[in-house]
Parts: sequence; C-alpha cells; structure tokens
Amino acid sequence: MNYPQLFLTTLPELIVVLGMFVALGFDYTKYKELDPQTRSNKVAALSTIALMLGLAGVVWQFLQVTDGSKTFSNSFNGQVVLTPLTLWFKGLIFVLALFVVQFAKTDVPNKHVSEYFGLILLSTLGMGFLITAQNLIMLFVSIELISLSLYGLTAFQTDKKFSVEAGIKYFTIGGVSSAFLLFGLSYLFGATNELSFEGITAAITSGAAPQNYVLIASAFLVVGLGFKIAAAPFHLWAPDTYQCGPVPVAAWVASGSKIASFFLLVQLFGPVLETSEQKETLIAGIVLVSVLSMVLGNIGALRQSCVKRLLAYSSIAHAGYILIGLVAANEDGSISVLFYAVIYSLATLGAFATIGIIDSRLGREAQIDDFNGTWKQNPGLSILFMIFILSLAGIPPLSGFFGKFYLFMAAIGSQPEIASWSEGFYWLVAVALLMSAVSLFYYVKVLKAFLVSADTPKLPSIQITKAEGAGLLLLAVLVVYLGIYPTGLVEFIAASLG
Amino acid sequence: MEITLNHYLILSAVLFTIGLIGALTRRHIIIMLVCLEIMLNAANLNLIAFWHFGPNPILLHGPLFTLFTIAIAATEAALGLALVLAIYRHFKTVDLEQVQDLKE
Amino acid sequence: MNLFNFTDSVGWLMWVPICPLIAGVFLALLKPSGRVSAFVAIAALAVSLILSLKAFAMTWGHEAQIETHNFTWMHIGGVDLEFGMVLNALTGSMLAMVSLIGLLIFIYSWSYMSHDDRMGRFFCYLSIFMVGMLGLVVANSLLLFFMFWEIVGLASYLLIGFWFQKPSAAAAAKKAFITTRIGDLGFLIGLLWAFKATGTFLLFDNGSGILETTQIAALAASENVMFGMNTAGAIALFLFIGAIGKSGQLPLHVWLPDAMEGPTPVSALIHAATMVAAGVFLVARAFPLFIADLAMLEVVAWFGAFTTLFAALVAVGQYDIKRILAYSTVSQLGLMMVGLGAGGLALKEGGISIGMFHLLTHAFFKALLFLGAGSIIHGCNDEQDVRLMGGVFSKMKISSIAYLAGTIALCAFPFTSGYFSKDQILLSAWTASGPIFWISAIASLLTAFYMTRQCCYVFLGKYRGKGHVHESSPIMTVPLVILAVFAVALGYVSEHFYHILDYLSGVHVHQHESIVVIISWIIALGGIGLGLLVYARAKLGIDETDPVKKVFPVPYRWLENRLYADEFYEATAFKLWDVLAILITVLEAIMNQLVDFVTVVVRNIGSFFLNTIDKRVIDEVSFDGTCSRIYNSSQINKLIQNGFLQGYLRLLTGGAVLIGILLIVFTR
Repeated sequence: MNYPQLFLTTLPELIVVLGMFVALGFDYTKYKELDPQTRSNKVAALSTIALMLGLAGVVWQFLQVTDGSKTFSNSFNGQVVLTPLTLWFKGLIFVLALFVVQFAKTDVPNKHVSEYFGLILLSTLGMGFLITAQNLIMLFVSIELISLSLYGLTAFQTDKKFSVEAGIKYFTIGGVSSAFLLFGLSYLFGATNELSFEGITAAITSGAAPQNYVLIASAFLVVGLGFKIAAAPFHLWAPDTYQCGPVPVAAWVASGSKIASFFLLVQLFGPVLETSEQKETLIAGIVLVSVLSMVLGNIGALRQSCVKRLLAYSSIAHAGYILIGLVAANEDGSISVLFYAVIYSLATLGAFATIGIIDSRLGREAQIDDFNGTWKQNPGLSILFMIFILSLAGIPPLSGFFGKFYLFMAAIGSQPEIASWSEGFYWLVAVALLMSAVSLFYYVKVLKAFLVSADTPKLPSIQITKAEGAGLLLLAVLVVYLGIYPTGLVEFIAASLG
Repeated sequence: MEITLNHYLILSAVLFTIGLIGALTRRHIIIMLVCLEIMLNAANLNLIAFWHFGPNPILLHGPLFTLFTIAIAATEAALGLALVLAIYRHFKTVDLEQVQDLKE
Repeated sequence: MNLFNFTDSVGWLMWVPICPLIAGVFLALLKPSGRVSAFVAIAALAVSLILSLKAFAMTWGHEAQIETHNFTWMHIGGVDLEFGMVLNALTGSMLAMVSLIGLLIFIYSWSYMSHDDRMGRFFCYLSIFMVGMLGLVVANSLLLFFMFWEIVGLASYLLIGFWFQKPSAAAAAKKAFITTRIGDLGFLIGLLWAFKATGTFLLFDNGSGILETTQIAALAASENVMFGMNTAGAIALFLFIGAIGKSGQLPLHVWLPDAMEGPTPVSALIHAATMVAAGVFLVARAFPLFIADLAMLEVVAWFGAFTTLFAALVAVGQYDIKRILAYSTVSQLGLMMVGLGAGGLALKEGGISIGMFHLLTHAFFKALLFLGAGSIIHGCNDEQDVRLMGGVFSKMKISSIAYLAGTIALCAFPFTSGYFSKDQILLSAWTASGPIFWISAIASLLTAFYMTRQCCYVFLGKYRGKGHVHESSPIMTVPLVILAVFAVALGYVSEHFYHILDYLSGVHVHQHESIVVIISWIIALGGIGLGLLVYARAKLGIDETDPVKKVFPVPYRWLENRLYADEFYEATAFKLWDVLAILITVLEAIMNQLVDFVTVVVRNIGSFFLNTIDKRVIDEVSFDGTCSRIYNSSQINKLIQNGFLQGYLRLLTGGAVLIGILLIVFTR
C-alpha cells in the first residue's frame, strides 16, 4: 500500500474531517457558554474554512490530473478514482455544501449546533466519495454515509413531532431500499465476480456474466437507486422529508444528494445500457419509473399550498424527466442526464434557500399566499426566486429550458433508424411535454403570488445577510449563464465521458 | 445431498422475503428494524455464497464486503433505535399505525 | 461573430431584439420612475425601429436574396447546435411592421398608463415582449425561433395579467399561457422531428438548411409517414399545431377573447402586431415545408376557413367593444390562414404573399381599432359595453374618425388597405377551392355587418352612459392618426406603386378574376348597407332587444353565448368525468387527464350542432372547468400519500414487483 499516495488522494476529505472535529471540539469546550446563534456563526465559519480548504485540495487534484503531471486514476482497486470528471463533480458538491452551510447558519434548529454542521459535512464527504467510487464496497459505504447523515439531519429537530415523524419515515423507507440495493449489488457481484465497475462492465458487455443474475441485480438496483433520486413509486418519503426537515437540509437532499445519485446512475447503468443484450428490457423498467414519476410528481404538486412540499413534488417530477436521458442509452443521454442534474440542483438549491430565508423570518412554514406582495417589499429576493422557479419550469433562456430540451433530444435521437412518429420515444417525450404543461399550473401559481400586490403584504422587508445574498446571486447567475452558454459544461462532460 | 450455490440463493431469497413481509405488515417499529436486519443479512448471505462458489475465492472480496455491511447495519440499527426513542417521546407509542400525522 | 459590423454581415440584426432587452433589464434592475421608464423603453425601441428600417431597405429590391449569419451555439455529441439570423423580404417587412406599430403603441401607452403607479413595470414587460417578437422574426433557427416564441408567451402572460387585482385578468392570463403551451407542445415535437430528419435547426444555410431545396426534396421523398403525408408535411402539421395555439385558430381560440382583460395597449400589441401574428408568421416562414405536401395546405386552408366563419358569427352577438374586436381578430387570423393555405394551392411560393399581405395591413388597422377603442373607452369613463355608449362621434371627433377609418379598412371597403389584401385572399380561394371561397366570402360579409353594427351602437344616437364624454390627450390621438393613414392608404400604395406581393414572396404574383372583384364589392358594400339598414334607425340600448334578436331570437342567443363553444366541451367532459369518477383508481385518474387534454383540443369542432344546454353548465367556462378537473385529480395523491408508513413500503414493493414482471415479460 502506497501511503503517501493514499494521503494525497483523500486529502480534501481528510481536511474536511479534520475541520469537522475541530468544530466539534471547539463547540464542546470553548464556545460552550455562548448563545446558540453565536456558536452557529462560529461553527459555520469553521466549516466554511474546512470546506474551502477541501475545495482547494480538489482543485489542486484537478489541476494535477488535467495536466497529466500526476495520476490518481484507478487507485486502490477502484475505491477512489480521480478523473477530471469525478473531480469536477466533487468540486461542485463541495461548492454546493458551502452554499448550504451559509444558508444553514442563520437559522439553527436547536442547541446542538456542531452536530448539525458535522452531519452536513459528513454527508458532503459521502457524496464526494460516491462520485469518485468505482467499486461496489465504496459505493455502498458512501451511499449509507449519505443516507444515515441525512436521516439524522431530517429528524434533527427532535422537539418537533413532524420532524421526527418525517425522520422515521425517511429512515424506514431508506432502510428497505438499501436492503434492496445491497441485494442487487450482491447479485451483481455474483454475476461478474468483480467489485470494480470496470470489471463488472467488462464482464457484462463481453457476455461472460449470466444474464439472469444481471437482470435480477438490475431490478433490485432500480429500486434502491430509485429511492435515492426520489423517483416514483419509491418517492413517498420525499414530500414529508422536504417539508418537515430543516430547510437547508431539504435543499441539500434535493441538490447534492441528487447530483451524486444521478452520477452513480450514469456510471453504473450507462455502459450496461449501451451494450447489454437485455438493453430493451432494462429500458422498459426505467421508462415505467420515469412516466410514473412525471405523472405522480406533477399531479401531487397541483394542490399544494406549502411551497416546500410543492417543490418536493416538483423534484419527483424532475427525476422523471432526467430518467428520459438515461432511457436514451447513448452518450448524448448520459451527458444530458449529468447536465440536467447540475442545473436542476442549482435552481432547486436556490429556490429552497429563498424559502428557508422567508420561513425563518416568518417563523413558520411559508404558504403560497404568504408571498403576496413580495415583489414590492423585497424586489431583489423576488427576482432571484423567479429565476429559479422559471428555470425549473423550463422557460428559455434559463438553463432549465435547455436542459430539458437536451434530454428530450437525446431520447429522440437515440433511435436513428426509426422512420415514423409511432416508433421510438416520441410518445415518451410527448408525455413529458404534456406533464410539463401541467406543471405550469403550479409554477404559475407561485409566480402569481409573487407578482400580486397585497394591500397588507404578509412579509416584512427582509434583510438578508451578505453570505446569503452572495450565495443566492451566484446561484442565479449560474442558472442564467448555463442557459445562455451551456457549451462549456456540456463539452467538458462529453470530453470526459468519451 | 450436495449443497450448491442455488440452495444458498434460494435460502437468501426466502430470508429476504420473510424480512420484507415482516417490514410490510408488523406495526411495531422495533420488529420492523429487526426485519430490516434480516433483509440485509439475506444480502450478506448472497455475498458469501457467491464468493465461496466463485472462481477465485482467494481474493476475499465477499467477506470484505460483508464485514463492511455488517458494520453499516449496526450503525443503521443504532440510528433507528434513536429515532424510535424520539418517536416514543412524541407519540407515546411505537405502533406505526398511530404515527401518521403527516399526510396530504 | 462580429456584432458591430453594420455593413456587410447581417450579424447586427441581433441588435434589433437586444435594444429592447437592454431597456427591459435596465427597468427591471434599476426601477426608475414611470416617466423615465417610458422614455428608456421608447428610446430603445426607436433604435430597433431604425435598424428594422435599415433591414427593410436592404431587402427592398432584392426579394429573392436570402442573407444569413450563423454561428455555433454549442456542440453536443457529434452535432453542432447552430443559431443565426436571417435577412430576407419576410424578415424585413415583418421587422418594419412590428417595430413601427410597437413604437406607436409604446407612445400611446405612455399616456394611457400615466395614472398607473406600476407604469415602470408595464414598460419592462412591454420591452420583454418586443424582445421575443423581434427575436423570432430574425431567427434563422427553429430552436431559436421557439425560444423567442416562449419568451413572447411568458411576456403575454405577464401583460394580460397586469391588472391581476381583477380575478378575471389573472384567470385570463393563466388561460392564455397554458392554452398556447398546448400548441407549443406540437411545435416542439415538430422541431425535434425536423432536427432528427435533417440534422440541423437552421432554416437557411447555404443550401443545407431545413427550408432549402435539397432538404425539402429529401423530406418530401418519404411517402406516407403519418396520415398519408410525407415527412415534410408531418413536420409542418406539428408546426401548424403551434401556430393554432398562438394565432387563436379554432380548437384553441378560447384564450384570445379572454385576453381582453389586459390593458388596452396590450390588447393592441397582442392582437394586432405581435403575438397572434407569430403563428401566421411561423407558417409563412416554414412555407416550403407546407408546400412540399399539398394535403397540409388544405389542412391550413380549412382550419382557417372554419375559424373565420365561426368567429365572425360569434362577433355579431357580442356587446363588449373589445370582445367584438377580439373575435374579429380571430376571424381575420383565420382569413390569413386561408390566404396561406389557398394561396399555396393556387400560387405555390406566392402563397406567402397572400397571407403576409393581409397580416401586414390587418396589423395596422387592427392596432388602430384597438387603440381607438381604448381611447373611446377612456373617453366614456371606462365603459366597455357598446349598449351604454352612443353619440360618441360628436364628442370625440379625432378618435371617431380614426376609428371609422379602421372600420372601413376591416370591412374591406373598396380602395382601403383591407380591400386589397382580402381581395387577394378571395382570389386565391376562388382558384383553390369553391367551398373555402364561399365560407370566406360569407365571413367577410358578416365582418362588414358586425362592424357596422358596432359603429351604430357607439357613434349614433344619444350618449347612454354615465358622466360626460371627453376627447383623449394628443399623445393618444397622434398615434391614432398615423395608424389611420396607414390603414387607409397602405394597401393601395404598396400594391400599385411598389408591388408588395412580388416583394414578400420573391416570385411574381398576379391573379385576376372579374367576378371575384365584383363579389368582394358586393360583400363590403352589402355588409355595410345591411348593417345600416338594421341598426341606423333602430332604438339601441341596454334595455332594448337587439334588432337582429327580435327577428331571430333563438339563433341570436346562441351567438350571444359564443355558440356554446366552451359549454359544449364542458358538458361532455363533465358527464364523462362523473361516470369515470365512480371508479376512482390510480389508473383512471391518470387516464382522465389524458381524456381531458384530448377533449380540450377537439372540443369546438362539434359545437355547431349543439343547441340545448343545461343552464348550470353554461355559466362555467370550459377552460377553468378543465383546470379544476385536473386539479381535482390530484385527489388521487391523497390516497397514495396517506401517512401510513407501511402503505408507502407496500407501494415501493409493488413498484419493485412491477419492474420484476416487466423484466420477465420483456426478456426473450
């Protein structure tokens, strides 16, 4: 074992873990007497520093890998594989975590401040590892690291009944799903006798692996991963979790966890879908999940008056849209999935963060009506929120439009040989378009609330902190920028995948 | 009778089903947690069996994976029990049918 | 890409939409006071107008020439997504018209909205609207076209709902946005198909664009792809669905009359120059695709014919001054579609000229009519019911004369601009198909009739409303006068001195048929005469029965109720829903959505045959009914998300089993 290399490979994670322990230690000793808000600011500062240093580590690794001066590739039997693509996504996770920490610090759920931030950092590590994992053991360990931290975070406000109930539901459904996942992984291992993705892919594409085992494994994996991306019918935890957990946590579940899971989905299913003999069978399963998610997600969102719950259903629907890219089962499909996962996460993180800010000032859950007159009171915040919502709704020129467009184009382009409209995935795209028309009902409802000027606006004029403002602004700029100029990111992903 | 890979696979499938049915029907949260453990262990049994009957048992892949999952299952149980305590504090019961305040 | 090269490349065309964009962003971010906002928006649009006129001048005399400026927006996979600008006669004329009318409407709004404390925001929305509209005119890529098309939709949503204090305005905005989105669905599928079939989004690209001969020939080569059409026709059909939504053609017209809830300049902008014209413009732009399959041209012509007759009939029974104009817009848009469809059948490429010429003349006189109506409404103390007007002529001379100028143009009174453009449409319909010709002729007769009816209500007799009638300020009347000049003279000047028909399509267009000319004289004069005969001497007012109603009470009531178009659908969907609701299960809830949506699309076709309707149903508007149906279907979610954890787990397991079954079934 090459210890110096191990150290360099896991450097960012080590920094973050170290930062977490420093934060915990300070919080238990030096800050013990302070009031929770001050402690929160200090611990958040420590976490921010740790994440920034970690991010610097990732950037350093990225530079090393891209100019070829050092390779970390295929280190440790695929446990941690650093390529430009995985490092870029890991960096993105760290950046998103930085945002989440900024949004989390103003509204601490209770006096256990350092545990709160510690769990956020731990889940960040899990997501980072999941992205760099090319090995089943690491995959399972990091998925569980993410899940367990998120269960804890959801139920963090133990004095609130709903928080705990959402926590136990998330936990139980998650537990059953991870049993499904592990069962699927065991069959994958049995079919190929390999633990690294590379070996597994080789065994499946060469036809050496027994097809029956692979199919059983895929069915179970669809369930296990379907839970992670909140696709129907494995989505039932999502509305409760998003609504009742602390808002930054909901934002984190909807953004970071989604990116990591979709990345895994592409890594695991991408090669198999492109070459396997049983391609069509698998695609049928994914199409089923995709259609169910789009329909149930959009219909569920229609009636919601609580904005967080509405966004939860919209995230279920988006999981359905993203799966369309996977259905395409070609390189374009994979690129479009990753691209959409990124922009969806940015927009949804922004939307949740805005709601979190409003919730904390209101002192309760924001209903749609509460936004009446926000435009007049808080024009800046309203514009930012509208950018996020319009991007989710897929209005050009925001990135959501292009992302969706690309997904659909990949699905239609995946079957070049078809000649007529009744074949191929036209029908699937038509369903998706129909459902995005339905989704306008509720997005427009939210928009209208912002624009309506109420005689007595329910929201006071809101002062947001500099960190929050900068975070939101940056997210909005990214959402707009990736809509106008998506080439850079798309080409980078394409080059790295190819 | 010689015991082959298929016997183990059937046993683990039965275990998984028992666990799943338990999780779907038993109302007591702690029993549900036990059922979850059974499901995870069914998967562990698979891993060991596949490793044992696989072409290169010298690599120790199976036991390695299993060790990790056992540890994870333990942490999951710990977290689950903590949640059960919190549930009990609010609802004064661990019957899942009583815990359904969150709904549409 | 050299954006600042104003001489040889056409990259500078991008500045036409960019100018209002800058104004819009400026207004959104800095929120200056109302007057400053108006000034900034008007100044930006004036720059666009100058550039548009330059574009117009460049195309004048070079009809057949197509200049493009393309650039790669991004690469994905092995494909380049290219965007670009195109400059040809269609772009030039449309740009000049849109920005000229836009500018006049901007100036008019300055006065019209001066009492509104959200004037800044109004101009911000107007600017965004112009960005979308001007952008889609210059776009040389179907995808870029679609993106601007969506921006137009969003801006119109914001504008129609500008007075959202009125619940009807908020509902109308939503209705417009979502109904047109149903059309957009077709558009998007069409453009994806076009991309898949040709590998490019570009319309013109030195011979390899979608609309150029080689690609069209390849697309037309495939036989019987869908409903017996070739690929070009199928793509055209989907694009036409988009145009149906945007241009308020028959199945999807319901949003357009309701869009009257917006401020009057918005009605003028949406109904005259821009949003509704976008659909017709799309058909004109993609005309080579339509010509490649003659069946598609017939589809366009028939849709147009039905729409024009239907809307003209309904307009006879309306009392709201803006609603009458709205139905007349629907009717005229149908006529433009007839022009494109029948013109294509009769003259091939020349069909573009027939439809576009009417679009251009109509834009001027309809903008004039809406602005005039706004001025009259203003003068009559915000009264919109024609029964409560009367005697306006003597009190508001300038507005009234301008309004009458618009009216005679719309009635196709000989030698006004409407006469020339409508004549061309009737001429091509005569050549193409007898039934379509007669339907259009009857609709034109009705048009003259209901416009005369409206003028009698508004201008003759004594004032029947509250308060005093007063003339509007010069800022409002000056645009009216300018538009009136265009409305009267544009047709004669452009056709006889400048041969605009040859210019628009780039081919020589000449059609003549003495009998058609005679018929169109009879139509215009007969319609006006009939109107005067019935209404000039009649006692009019809110308490009086309409003279036509006295003679034909039952059919007139149908017209008043807009031929039950909304209600027919509501009745059928309602009953269907009730039956299905008995078996409420997950599957059926999903199915009902689909049933509903399909019915939205087809509902109006059978509405003519409906005469007895349950009173309870009549009051409901179908679109809202549909919304509430869909909305209610989310009940199903209550069954799923019932709070019982093990229910969730069972559903999860059910999903797993379903996937298992799928795998077994599909594995061979």
